[in-house]
Amino acid sequence: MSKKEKYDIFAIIFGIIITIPMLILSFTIGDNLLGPSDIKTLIILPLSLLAYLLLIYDFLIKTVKNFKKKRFFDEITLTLIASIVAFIVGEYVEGLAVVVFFQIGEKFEDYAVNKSRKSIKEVLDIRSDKATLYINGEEKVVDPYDVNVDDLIIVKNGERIPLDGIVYKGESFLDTSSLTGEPVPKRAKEGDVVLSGVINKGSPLIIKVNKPFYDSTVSKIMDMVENATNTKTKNERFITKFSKYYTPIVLIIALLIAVITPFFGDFRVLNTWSNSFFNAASLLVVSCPCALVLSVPMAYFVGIGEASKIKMLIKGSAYLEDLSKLDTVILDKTGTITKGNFVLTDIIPASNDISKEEILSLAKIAEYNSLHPIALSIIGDDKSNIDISERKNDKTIEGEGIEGLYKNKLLLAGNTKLLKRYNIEFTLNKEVGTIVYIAYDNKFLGSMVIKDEIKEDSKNALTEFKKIGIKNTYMLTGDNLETANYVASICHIDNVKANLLPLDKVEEVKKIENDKNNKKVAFCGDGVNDAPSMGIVDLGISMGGIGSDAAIEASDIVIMDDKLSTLVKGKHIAKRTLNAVYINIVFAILIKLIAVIIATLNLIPAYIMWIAIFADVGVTFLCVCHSLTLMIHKKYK
Amino acid sequence: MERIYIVKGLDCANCAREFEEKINKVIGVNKAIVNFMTLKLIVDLSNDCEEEILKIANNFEDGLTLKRIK
Repeated sequence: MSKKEKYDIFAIIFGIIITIPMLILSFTIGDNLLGPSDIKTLIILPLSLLAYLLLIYDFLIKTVKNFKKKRFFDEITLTLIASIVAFIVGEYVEGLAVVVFFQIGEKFEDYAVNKSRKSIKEVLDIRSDKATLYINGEEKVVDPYDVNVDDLIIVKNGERIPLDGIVYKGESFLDTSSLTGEPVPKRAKEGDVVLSGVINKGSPLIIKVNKPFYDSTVSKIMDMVENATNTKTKNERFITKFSKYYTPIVLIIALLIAVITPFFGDFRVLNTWSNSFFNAASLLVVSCPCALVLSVPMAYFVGIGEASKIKMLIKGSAYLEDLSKLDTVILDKTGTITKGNFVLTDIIPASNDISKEEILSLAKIAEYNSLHPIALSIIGDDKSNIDISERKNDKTIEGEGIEGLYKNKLLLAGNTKLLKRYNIEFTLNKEVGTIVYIAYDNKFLGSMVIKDEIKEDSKNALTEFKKIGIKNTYMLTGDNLETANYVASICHIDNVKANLLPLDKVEEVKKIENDKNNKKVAFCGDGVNDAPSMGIVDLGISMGGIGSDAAIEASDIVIMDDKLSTLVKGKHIAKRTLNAVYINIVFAILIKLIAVIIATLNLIPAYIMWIAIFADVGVTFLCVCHSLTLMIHKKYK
Repeated sequence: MERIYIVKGLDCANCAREFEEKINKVIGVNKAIVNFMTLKLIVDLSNDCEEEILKIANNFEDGLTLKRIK
């Protein structure tokens, strides 16, 4: 604690110790303005004044400096004027109380702001402040900002990887939980891409850096969270506007009360003037819109911080607002609801003349060059034993499959559309899953079943969707209707659109977005292939795309842990945040207006200063506390 | 062009708002945002008027300083 902080706390405590007995005393001796003057001038005045002077020492310096800089209506100046007026009209305890509570309020605000800043810092604790360069076997610890692309760095057991890169040497296990929430360590070997922020849980790894520090995954995540509150929401803009007019208006009312109201009463009596000046002074106390300008941005800030704790990164406060009102979600099937891990489960030959092995080897030849996940599941890990010397002219037909020539005869691998186009008769395979039909030399040979598992939490999360206000769910997929319906029935998805080409998907998304019944629409996908769809809807949500710049770029919200249940939790946080925002706005404005009316109409003159203090410090305290409570949420953590 | 400054010595949220209002009035500033929670000033400039911004900061409140980070 610095010297100044110690002094401040001493002055506040001393102020409180004096205020309480003086308050009791001044009430026991009767009406403040007419009490026995001896007690008032001999006890209350000197003690209050002493405590008061200790408290305003700083204020005076600051006010003088502000006046020099032509800043007259600073809250410190206004508080000072109000308290001086109170002393002059003989309301010593009130004069003291104004500054005591003002100081307490300031200290509490500092505490609250620091607390919420610290809470976000904890989330962002995944950035390393040093990196160990590895140069010809020598190690050198440097600032990660000084590491260049293509430098080698060494990361030992228990250390965090400081920059994104590729494993150059070594093999180990990585704890990726800080990024993905995945508790099981992931294996990393030579040639694997590794992201900054993860912890090495095994033997040392030598990593070839492929991104500078400011562009590495951790920096990107931190920037996103830190900059999220830089754009102002509609609510914040309203508050800015309100504050701009509120203070001058209240000050004008105060001035009018001070100089005009005495003429409505007996203006020849000093008491009339004292009363109106005191009323006006109380308005100076309520003239700061602090409760609003602090508690509302703080609520957004805390809300975004809380969301990042559950692995949801929100790019801006406005998206938090959209999320709270979200009622329609469009989901990509593969990789979002399902794992996106395709496994070849069955091969069904068209007749007994051909074996499963023959079909598989032809399929491998057909799919050889494709990078489609389904093709990869057919090809398998080992490509070396596939002989493609007699294969040529292979061509991918989007949304259908692959055609090409093998030994100068037509080889097809794809869905029913592809075979129909060539008028090849086939038996429909009704198995659930993605079906790949194989035809060679214009003859249908058989079909293959490829399955994708549904993620463990998808079913529960999608059931929860309904309970949290997401009324409409859509699933879009390029897959066949049978598989789509199967997944939809398990996960309780209302609307299914299957057999879609990438362009069809965008059209469907447009239609859903334009449907007037849907208020806020989100698209949820891997983010890499659906940037166009994300651009159309209110909210683009990418899942599992951490480490991919394209995904982070395209989306408004990034779900780092790849789970739909995180969307459910995130929506809870968003809703609570927006509730706090609305309640704070209404409550603060209401109480302030009431205080202004009471003072203007001179309704409760004896207590007006206390009402003003509550409307200022009290309301700020309650609103800020309300924003801070967003950090407490046991149920959905 | 965008400039980002770290703001030190801002007393209260309302002061931050007033400060933001003043910066926004500078000719050459398209948009200025003062984020009191992260203590940053983000300005979008159409011409280089950094001097004017620093002058306002200097004259706004005692102890207010700006440190450019971008």
